[in-house]
Amino acid sequence: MIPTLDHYLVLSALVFCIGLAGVVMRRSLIVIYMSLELMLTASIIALAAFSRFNQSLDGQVLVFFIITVAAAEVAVGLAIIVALFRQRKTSHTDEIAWLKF
Amino acid sequence: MMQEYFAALVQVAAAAVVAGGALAASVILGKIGARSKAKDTPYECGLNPEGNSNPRFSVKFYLIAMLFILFDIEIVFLYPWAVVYADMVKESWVIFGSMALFQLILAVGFVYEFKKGALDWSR
Amino acid sequence: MNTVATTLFLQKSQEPMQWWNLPEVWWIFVGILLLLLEMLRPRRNSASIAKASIFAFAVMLIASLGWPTGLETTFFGGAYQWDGLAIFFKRIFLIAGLATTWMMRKCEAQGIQGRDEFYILPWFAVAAMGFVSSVGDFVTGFVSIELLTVCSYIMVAFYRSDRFSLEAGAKYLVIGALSTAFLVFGITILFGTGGSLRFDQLANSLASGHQDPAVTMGVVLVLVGVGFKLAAAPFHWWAPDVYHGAPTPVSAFLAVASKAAAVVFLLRLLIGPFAPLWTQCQQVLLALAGASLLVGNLGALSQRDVKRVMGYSSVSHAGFILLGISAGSQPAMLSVCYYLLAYTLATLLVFGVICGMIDKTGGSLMRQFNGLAQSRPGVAWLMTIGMLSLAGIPPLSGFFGKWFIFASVWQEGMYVMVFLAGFTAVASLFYYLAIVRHMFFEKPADGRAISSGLSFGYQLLLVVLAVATVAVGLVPGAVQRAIYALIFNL
Repeated sequence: MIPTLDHYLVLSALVFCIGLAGVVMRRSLIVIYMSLELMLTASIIALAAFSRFNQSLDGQVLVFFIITVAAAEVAVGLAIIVALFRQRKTSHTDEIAWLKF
Repeated sequence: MMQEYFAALVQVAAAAVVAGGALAASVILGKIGARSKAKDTPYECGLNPEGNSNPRFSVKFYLIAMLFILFDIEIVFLYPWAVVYADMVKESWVIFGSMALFQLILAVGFVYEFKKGALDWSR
Repeated sequence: MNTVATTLFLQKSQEPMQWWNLPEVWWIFVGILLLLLEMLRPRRNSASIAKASIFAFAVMLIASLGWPTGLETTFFGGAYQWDGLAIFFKRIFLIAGLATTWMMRKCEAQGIQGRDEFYILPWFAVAAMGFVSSVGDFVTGFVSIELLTVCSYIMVAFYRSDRFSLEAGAKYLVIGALSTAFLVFGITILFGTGGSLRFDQLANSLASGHQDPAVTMGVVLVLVGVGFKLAAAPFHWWAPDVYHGAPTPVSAFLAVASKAAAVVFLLRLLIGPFAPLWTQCQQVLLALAGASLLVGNLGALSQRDVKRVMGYSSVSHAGFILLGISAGSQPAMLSVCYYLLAYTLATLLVFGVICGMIDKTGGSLMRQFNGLAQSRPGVAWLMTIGMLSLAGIPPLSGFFGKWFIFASVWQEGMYVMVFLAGFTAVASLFYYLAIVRHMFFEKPADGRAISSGLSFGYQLLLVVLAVATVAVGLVPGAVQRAIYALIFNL
């Protein structure tokens, strides 16, 4: 069986949905952040597949940029989460919701 | 087509049988025999285990790892650049200049983290 | 003044523009230069970096007067477009950057603890927004939006010891990353169906095959991503929390610049790749506009904190802007630009006053502004001008912004939306005037007057913003003609 474009797209959609479900349902900031990265990964899979099957390299170029940007975002994001954790001694979203009136 | 993957299928099946068998055996065998406090410890003979099972790491590791990732990831731009460099540089030096500019900006970032003491391990 | 600009930038299309005198290249260069200055200077002196940053913003704003107008070119293989729309938004970003840095200088001692990157980050954010306003393909669009977002994360969470700032940072982080994920997935689907990431090529290929449900899905995902950045309902719920928690100058920056960047990205999409899909986009935009108007204006009514009120108010203004965009005509686009200018000036003014007063009042709760008119009447009047302009009271620019948008929407025959918007605009009077009432007619809770004034420079900034708010409203026709000439290259 040769994998076709559809297989990659189904995989990508599944990964995206798993990530989205993780963001919505999990209560730990770190896990939420991992799920968000998973959603970006879903795009990367689909872009690479589209590039391969459309014979266009543009998609792979975007993949490079997504990887780089995701790394930068993770660096900043983890810094914020670590600082928050040091302050509150927790990374659970239920326990850090102080901005509510 | 499918026959090529048959060996892999067999391997997956074998792995499933072995893993499942081991789990089932430990559950079944665990219910047989005497139980005491000593039997429930992780190591029945030897030293008592110490400390938490997931110890905290110093936040320094995180900082170094993050900085490594940030500079490491720039390699993804260097690889495709290196592949086409020899052909493109014959036409114009733009390809050289643009990568030099990119590296220069990265170098500023490196000097910045150096000056801020992020690489000072003893701090 | 133009001579300064002439030396900085090549002039008036006598020579073709080169990539190295694009403004963003200069802005990035200034940012890197300030960063080098910050780490290599011999003595730690916070004021020097802040002053240098403000001065550089002023220079760049003056230099922007000399940008070649009436010229449409592209750079980097079509990834960067230089035209009137880009120039208009780049100037808005510069104004926002200048005012924000000035406010940051004002709030200096409160929590940055000698980390002067606070004054440098706006440069990278403004450069990123400049790229967004000129975006010509999705790769540039994605990277520049992300540069803006990552800079915003750092700025929102910059008061490390302040519990609200960090929490707002974490919240903005999750929301920003979520919107990025939607945006990227939408772009991916559009790339798969359209076969290109360039806006012009994508427009051609989407025009032929726009019955494909996958295209609709891609467009909707991209619009959801933009909706998050724009703080349009139902993707708005982060805005009040983040505006409340973030340092006040950063709240101003998010409310003005970040929103304007989202607006210009949306405009670029609608005149570029999404043009063949206008009818579908229009429905989505109308829904977003109606929801934002209702949620923003009604949500603000029960708030007790001025910064939170401004958060909801920014949602409602996103609604007005989206309403104008969804009218889709040429006058509608002009009215959106005018509205954005009026909104920018008034919002910067309001946040400027909050930022100047917050260390004297001790917070941004409405009752902490009680009696401001007795102790500091000038500041209270400046705040009142800003609030009345945001509410849309006739002689001020905010009124004409709303008026132009209502007129262009009425022309397109969407009467229901005009009535809805008018109703919510009346509702918005209550919360804007509530702040005015607290300043003028309530006694201070602990009977102490708010003492000690603002520096001359900061007063100058506030007065200039207030005068601009009034002036743009006094000559609305002239301002709109100027915008028209700029955007349509006359």
